[in-house]
Amino acid sequence: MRKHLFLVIAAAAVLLSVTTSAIGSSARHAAGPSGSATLSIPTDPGNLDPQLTLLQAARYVDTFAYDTLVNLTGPGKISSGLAQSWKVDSPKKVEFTLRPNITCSDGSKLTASVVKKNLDFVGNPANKSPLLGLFMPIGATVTANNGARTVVVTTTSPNPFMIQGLALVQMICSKGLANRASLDHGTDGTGPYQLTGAVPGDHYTFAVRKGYTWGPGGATTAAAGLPAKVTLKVVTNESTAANLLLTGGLNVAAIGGPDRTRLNKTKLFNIVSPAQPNELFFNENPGHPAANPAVRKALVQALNLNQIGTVATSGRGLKMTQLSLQNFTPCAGNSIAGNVPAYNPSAAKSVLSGAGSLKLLYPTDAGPAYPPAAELMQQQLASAGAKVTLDPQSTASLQGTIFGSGDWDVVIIGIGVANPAQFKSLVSGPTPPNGTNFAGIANAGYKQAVARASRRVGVAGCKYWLDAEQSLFKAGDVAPLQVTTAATYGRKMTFSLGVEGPIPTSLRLTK
Amino acid sequence: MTAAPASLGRRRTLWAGHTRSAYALRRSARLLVSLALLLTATFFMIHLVPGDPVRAALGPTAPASLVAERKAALGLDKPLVTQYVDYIRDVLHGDFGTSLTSGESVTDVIRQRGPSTLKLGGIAFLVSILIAVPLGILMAALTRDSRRRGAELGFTAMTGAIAAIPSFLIAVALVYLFAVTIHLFPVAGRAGFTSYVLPVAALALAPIASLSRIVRVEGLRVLDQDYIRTARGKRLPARIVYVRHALPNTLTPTLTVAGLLLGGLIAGTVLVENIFAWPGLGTTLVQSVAEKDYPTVQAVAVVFGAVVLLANFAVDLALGVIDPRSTILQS
Repeated sequence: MRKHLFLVIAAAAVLLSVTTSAIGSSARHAAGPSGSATLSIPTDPGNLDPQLTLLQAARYVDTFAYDTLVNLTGPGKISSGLAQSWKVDSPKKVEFTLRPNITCSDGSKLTASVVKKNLDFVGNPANKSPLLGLFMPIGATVTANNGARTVVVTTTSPNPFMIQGLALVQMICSKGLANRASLDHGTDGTGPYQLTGAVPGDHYTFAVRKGYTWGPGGATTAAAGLPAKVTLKVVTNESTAANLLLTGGLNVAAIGGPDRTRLNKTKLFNIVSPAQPNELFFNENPGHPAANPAVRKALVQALNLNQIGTVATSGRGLKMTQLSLQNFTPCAGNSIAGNVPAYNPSAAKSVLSGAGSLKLLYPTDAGPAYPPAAELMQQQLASAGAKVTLDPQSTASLQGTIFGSGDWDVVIIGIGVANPAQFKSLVSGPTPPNGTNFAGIANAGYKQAVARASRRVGVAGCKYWLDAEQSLFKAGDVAPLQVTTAATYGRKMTFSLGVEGPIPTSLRLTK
Repeated sequence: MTAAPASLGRRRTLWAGHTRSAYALRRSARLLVSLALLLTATFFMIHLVPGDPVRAALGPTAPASLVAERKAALGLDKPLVTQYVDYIRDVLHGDFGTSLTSGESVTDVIRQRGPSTLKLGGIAFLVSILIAVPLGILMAALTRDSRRRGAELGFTAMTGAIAAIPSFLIAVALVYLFAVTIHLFPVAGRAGFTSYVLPVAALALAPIASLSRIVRVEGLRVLDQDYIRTARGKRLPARIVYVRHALPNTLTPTLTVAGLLLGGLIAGTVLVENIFAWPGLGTTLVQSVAEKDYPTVQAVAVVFGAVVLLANFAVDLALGVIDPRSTILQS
């Protein structure tokens, strides 16, 4: 007996000493003017291959190691990247001219033909890139001319926002293209930083590259205050990220939830940005009350959308201006103001009292603010004479309902798209299971305006895209709530925000 | 438990051989059945959840064709029984499938994150035992024969309260006190010895509280036995009485309870890791549940379950060695 006890204690002692000696050596490294910075990412990026993932964290990590042909810098704004100039000839053709002397982290050159290889990989359905159809048009042909440094992408059907999509395809260098598996946990790009270490689930470290001059709008890595070393740390819990910001463990973190209240009391640098628009859809498929246009309009009239939107975003929301995320949409403008049927519960009463029972579907796991918003809706609809039953479901179950069984009447949902064209298949065309028009919307005005918009190139078509959205709001097909926001805080650090997060070349250490 | 520890050595040789190996075999068979049940339960738990995991992972904007394609690639369009057979076959080959969100092999993810969770849980477990057992014996010695009622009341009230607080709440309180208010330890992350202090404390405090209560009660019972009175009568030094005669006889119930606590401790790592941004399986589980990454959720649940089963198996085998009677009591 004594021997066993001794053994247990001895084993425990050995284990403890081994673990402490293994972890005891590393010191807390200071962030700040010493030239290094620690930024948080909300989840582990997983597979780092930029053309095989859509995970937000992976796309952000990859902005340090990879570049894009051009960069989206604001509503309707594009700036240079690997391409020094670009030309949108028609909705079916985009032409890029690369900068001279772009080098990869291994010293090799990024030529037009390497760019072509990248786009060909994404465009080949056999490679199952999730970027295909989202950023890269399906069925595109790519030609490259190394001497003239030009890359031309052409498609057979019109793609009004082709360049905005291609602006999100991160380019890989030749070695990585040849050895794809090396990209899962390593990088091979032209970006401003180079991956120097990766501990999956914990952190990723990057070192700055010298002689980099092809950042967004010609940004370089010679700027004073740019950190020489960047650590991207996985912090899943927002309160933990906030605590780390306050105690100096992090320089930058994006926070969406209630921890913003205490962070805002400090003097941290911060940028508030729209994260996800929230909308109401009404089931217009045959057999549902909202198939009747009068009922849809009455439903919108019966709801104080501004109030519900405030509740659904916990009071931290922004007014919606259009269906796309407003910070990087190609179409600056407002399709909502003045186009949504105004709050008028008494006018709605006569229609809704005879409309029958309505099932209000909402997600229970998409943040704590949706259930109270749904209850407020139920209250307002009930006082306008409608019979409403609440149907809380998990997101997976909710999407199974709207894309499957169809047993719902009103749904609160958050859908964020990058440009108006991405909304097209959700509000027109075939219904599930053949398509994604889950509410069964058939809006002639929308279709007409979209047809007009699609004939024009990108920004030139914006007026029609916004017209199209207007007809959705006017008919009560979609009702806007508010945009959920996130605040990105900087401690001893300033930055500007790109599509994926703080832009690497914009990071500046401050005192 | 009335036997004096000195006689255990001879008894063990009596039980050694046939009975003990039969017990080990029986216990192994039970472990296999439990593991099979665990695999089956996690499979159906995930597959009977209403909704469409692929659509949920890809979002509403994904085209219908892409969703159908991904479903086919994951085999989700096959009948449930076929999926079940495929799943069991893959798991037996060490293949837990591919993450829906990150595209990584789930087996790789578990291989990368598993060690940090095991390390954290293992250290917390050892710390619990190393503190709870001496503390319990000490309290038993101090409060035996209804002495020091004040100390007894204080101890039971304190440990009762601590044992009732979930580990993630303890974690939040510890972070607030020792990391945010006074900057004694890092808020989160795994970097050096100090970063282990708060997570280990958060995990170990509740088990220490409940385990030391058990040890104290067991200690009181043992200290009341005849052989202790005899030992005292022989004027043996207190050290020998407590460490050699009393302590070993409290170990059987202590180990049994410790085995059960280990289960709770492993479950506790899920949220504690999340709070401390610990690069382990707990963080992975929380993240994959939030992202509806079902293959990962399923695999991590299996791993956690298997660890608990294996720990209890190890405890039972250890008990068989320490207290051979447990091998026959169960037959």
